[in-house]
Amino acid sequence: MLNKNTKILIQGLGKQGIFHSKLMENIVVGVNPNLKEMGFPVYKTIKEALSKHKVDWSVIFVPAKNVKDAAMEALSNNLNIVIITEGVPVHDTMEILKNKDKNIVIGPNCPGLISVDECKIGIMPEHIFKKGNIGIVSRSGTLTYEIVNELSKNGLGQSTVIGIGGDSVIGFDFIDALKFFEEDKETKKIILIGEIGGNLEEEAAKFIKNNISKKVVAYIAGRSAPEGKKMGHAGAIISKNSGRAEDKIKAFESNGVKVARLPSEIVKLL
Amino acid sequence: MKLKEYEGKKIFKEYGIKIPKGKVIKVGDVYEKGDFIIKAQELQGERKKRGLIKDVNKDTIDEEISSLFSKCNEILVEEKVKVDKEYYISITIDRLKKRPVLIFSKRGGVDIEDVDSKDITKIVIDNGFFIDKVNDIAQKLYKIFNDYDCELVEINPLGLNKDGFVALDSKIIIDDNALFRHEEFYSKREDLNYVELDGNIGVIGNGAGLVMSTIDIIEYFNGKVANFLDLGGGADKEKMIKALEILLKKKVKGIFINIFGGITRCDEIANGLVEFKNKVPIIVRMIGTNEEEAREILRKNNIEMVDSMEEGCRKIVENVK
Repeated sequence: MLNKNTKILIQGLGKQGIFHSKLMENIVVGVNPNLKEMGFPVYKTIKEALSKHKVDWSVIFVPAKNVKDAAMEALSNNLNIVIITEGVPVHDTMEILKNKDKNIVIGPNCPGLISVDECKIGIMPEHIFKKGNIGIVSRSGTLTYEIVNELSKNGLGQSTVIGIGGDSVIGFDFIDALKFFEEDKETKKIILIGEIGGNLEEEAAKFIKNNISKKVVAYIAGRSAPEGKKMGHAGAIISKNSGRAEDKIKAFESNGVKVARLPSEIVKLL
Repeated sequence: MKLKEYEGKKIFKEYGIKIPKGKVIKVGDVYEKGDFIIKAQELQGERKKRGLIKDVNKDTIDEEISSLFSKCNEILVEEKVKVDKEYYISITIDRLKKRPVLIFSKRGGVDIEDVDSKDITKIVIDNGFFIDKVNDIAQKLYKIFNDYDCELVEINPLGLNKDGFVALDSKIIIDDNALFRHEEFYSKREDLNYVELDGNIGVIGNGAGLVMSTIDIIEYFNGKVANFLDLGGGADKEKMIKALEILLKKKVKGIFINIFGGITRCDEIANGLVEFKNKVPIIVRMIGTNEEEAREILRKNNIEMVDSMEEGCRKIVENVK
């Protein structure tokens, strides 16, 4: 999905956008309501930006209430998008996804993705990654860094790491990532990091059994979470009959995917 | 954000959905004596099972209302509506389809999750979808669902009599992320980043998944966690102090702090921590900018800093025993 030649546009040059734009090498242009002095040209609209620059992806840092407009603007200009912003109303997310057509939407409420030593889109701390052949897809941010750090320390490098986000409705999900990793020559093994809430993990488990030949190891956070409470992430909530960690773990195990009990166990299971 | 039954019914009425006549009372409020249903207005489900919904008449109403006020602050006193049949209807979000869905069941009055799937009709709403029998009410529910940014709008039971449909109960959940555009509810919003649990080990971390995982590991080592607390990104000294104050109010016996931050200023956090050093055992695991400076600060103040999350979890459980 990404390589050294991927060109990124950044939407939203507030505090977070400005800070993280300096840590993404592939940014070529920015879009913001007010023009700012940055290390790259900034325009007020994507249309203007694209009239002068070639771009593949947009990374969105605009405030939650403006994400829908920003995402629609990017999609109508045929860009793939990564929505970093947390707090996007779920109805807005559903509208965005209804209009995505063939473009990729990653997020919202995600840290982005990185193809190690090639290209990073988002806020992941680059220094913890080490080039290798393990693909990772995760609903979490810092838990992903924790696990990447463990892998790197043990000499197990990563190919591409994708944070799909913590909301209840997201774009690019586990199955999309698994399809990508199955086709990706750089990836030999896959780690799936899930958490309580929804049933994306259960669907992924079934998909793996029938479609994925590469080895997959899973880790699920939230075994101790109580029912009915959102645990930080809008999508991390157990309802009466769905979303429990133990059901996700059962789904993986019954479909041939080993599940680590502790993050440190992941290395052993690989 | 969950709305109370009477709040939801008020919205139903505004949108033209029939509701029983009723009045919400607080302790000391005047009410009529008669044949009514009295319902405690609280957010937890299964009220009938828990004795929070009672059938009363003019002889029993005073005693029952008194008794019910010992369990809640607001009571809905409602006329009894006779219905011939009860259904279930709701609009909610299907996380797999990433679209709203309309759910309708011939079996009203019971928990929908207990109903056999053959008795449930689930229809994905793509562009406004009509179901013959429930056309009118489905349209109104969908309008409420959209106008109020709902995660769920549910009527169970939905009663049917010769006058049409009547909403005998109401369950509305508004998306917390959308409260900024619903002034009337915004001030009552809850903080998603702190959840009280019932143990005695405090947990503070940055990132929901990381905090959930930390809690899992402490419990794996047989500790009992007192809370979930996510500092979010860019935690600083003030945020850390606030977080510790919340935990200490809860009388925890020990605290484990787990921060994995590329950009988090560890020395800042360490400086916030030292103010609490003698209150309870604190174990810290921090990875981020200025780790070494932080390590020095903590060492000088006898606060233990560990290298790994699992080590920290194991140690805090030991310290609290």
